[in-house]
Amino acid sequence: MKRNFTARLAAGLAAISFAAAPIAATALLAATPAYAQSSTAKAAVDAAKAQGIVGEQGDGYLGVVSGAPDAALKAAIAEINAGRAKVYQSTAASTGVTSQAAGEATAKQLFAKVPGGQYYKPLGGNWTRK
Amino acid sequence: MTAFLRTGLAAGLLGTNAALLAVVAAPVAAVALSGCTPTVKVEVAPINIYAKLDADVRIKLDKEVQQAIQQNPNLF
Repeated sequence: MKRNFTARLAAGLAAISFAAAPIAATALLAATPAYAQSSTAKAAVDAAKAQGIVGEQGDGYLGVVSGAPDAALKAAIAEINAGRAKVYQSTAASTGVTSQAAGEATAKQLFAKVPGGQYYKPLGGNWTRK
Repeated sequence: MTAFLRTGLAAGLLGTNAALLAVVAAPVAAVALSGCTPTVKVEVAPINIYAKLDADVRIKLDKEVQQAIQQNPNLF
């Protein structure tokens, strides 16, 4: 579990640093641009969510609830989290908050949408089954 | 001659014993000290930045977030 967390932390940090570069460019574009994204990653993550493997975290990113996801699922999670990091940067730039705050605000809305039986993890809390 | 050897040997033994004692005593003292030292576990609570935002900023942010979620169906 701790290992999973550090792995996710590393992925998150990588995603953030990856997203940091194009801020200037995206700030010039529309306020909330849609980013290139693959529906296959979304489908893989949705299936894992339904199985209770993946859940929504309070920071606005996907996390692994339990078990060891295979390489394909890991890649899908990383892809979506990287895309989310970009969205949070963009939202942050247009509202004058940090991307962390944008992520937390998004998590709040995503938690409300979590279907029954799936998992979410509030900030500072544990994985909770809805 | 033998007496000298004996005392020399005795001194040598004493020396090694003293050294051994020091080697043994150091970790014992360390264990004893650590036993007395209270273990402080620092749990760093994650900072909820969103909760600290001004109400008007939060309203604007919530709107933007809602749009972002709708415009990125493959991410959310």
